[in-house]
Amino acid sequence: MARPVNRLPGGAWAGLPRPVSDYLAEVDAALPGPRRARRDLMTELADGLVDATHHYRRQGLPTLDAARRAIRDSGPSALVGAEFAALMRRWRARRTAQTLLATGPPIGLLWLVVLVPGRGPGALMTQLPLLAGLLCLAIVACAATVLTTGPAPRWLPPVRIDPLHAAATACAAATLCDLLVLAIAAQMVLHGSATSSTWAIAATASLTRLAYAPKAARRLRNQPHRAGH
Amino acid sequence: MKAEVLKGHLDGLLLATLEDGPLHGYAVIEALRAGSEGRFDLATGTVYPALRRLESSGLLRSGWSVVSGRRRRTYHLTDRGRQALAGQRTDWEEFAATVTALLGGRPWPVL
Repeated sequence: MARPVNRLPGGAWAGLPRPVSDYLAEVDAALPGPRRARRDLMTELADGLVDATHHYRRQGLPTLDAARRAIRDSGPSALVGAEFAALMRRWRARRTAQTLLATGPPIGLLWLVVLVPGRGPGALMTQLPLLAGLLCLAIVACAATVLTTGPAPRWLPPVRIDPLHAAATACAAATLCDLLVLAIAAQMVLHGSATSSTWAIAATASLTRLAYAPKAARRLRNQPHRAGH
Repeated sequence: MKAEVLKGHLDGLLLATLEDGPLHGYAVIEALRAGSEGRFDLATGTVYPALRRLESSGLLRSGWSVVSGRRRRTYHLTDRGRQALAGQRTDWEEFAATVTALLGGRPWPVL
């Protein structure tokens, strides 16, 4: 009977022949993203390798040889790791775009109240065309990311856009938006016209997103730097 | 058959293996191997991310179950996946018919 496949703190995989656990560790080292998502993917790969090893054992190979055949079938760890990494980056791009889409409207609303109290978004856009352009860019890039990384509506023709670039563009546009409104808000403070508590809330929200968006963009580009196990 | 040749068709092949019912990842690989009589030179480890990508696109759904003490992920086609498979079949039939005609040295169709 197959033994449970569990990751040990030291990086080894319990219940698997050594070549398989080494192979899994190599693939895992190539993956970006949170441990939980990696573990989920690696459990599935490990399950397949166990099945493949059993398949070759049933054909009469000793366990170690069977494990090596299973690994050979699976493909080079660098290739498999790269495929999983690409998948995880797509997931990350989607999460980033969803986060920006979710935080955009409330932060925008706060700044509307601060910058053009009692007037609609049109007033702000007319006064600050650069902000309007950046907002449009961020929204389009986020929408493109979400559409290319998940189920797209049937009526939509296939969108051929790199979701990683689109998400990074959205992060850059959101960062510039925040910098712009914060610069305007700083001027208001200097002129003594920023008096409401909404100003502080809006500035805090933008600063929080400023801490998030550039980091998220870097994560979309970066390779993992974990040491091999 | 080289992996590069397969690359553009892997999604359709994976959808086709799941047409008759849910399978876990290794069973999908086995079905590909059996269906091709071992002719596909495919790195089987790349099938798992491809299945997850199809799931992200809404063409498959999956869930975990425990079999013989091991967690195992099983995939099945969604309605959208069945439609995508039908589309890929049509595209493939047109493509294959055209290439067969050209490679077979038949006259170029008069338009």
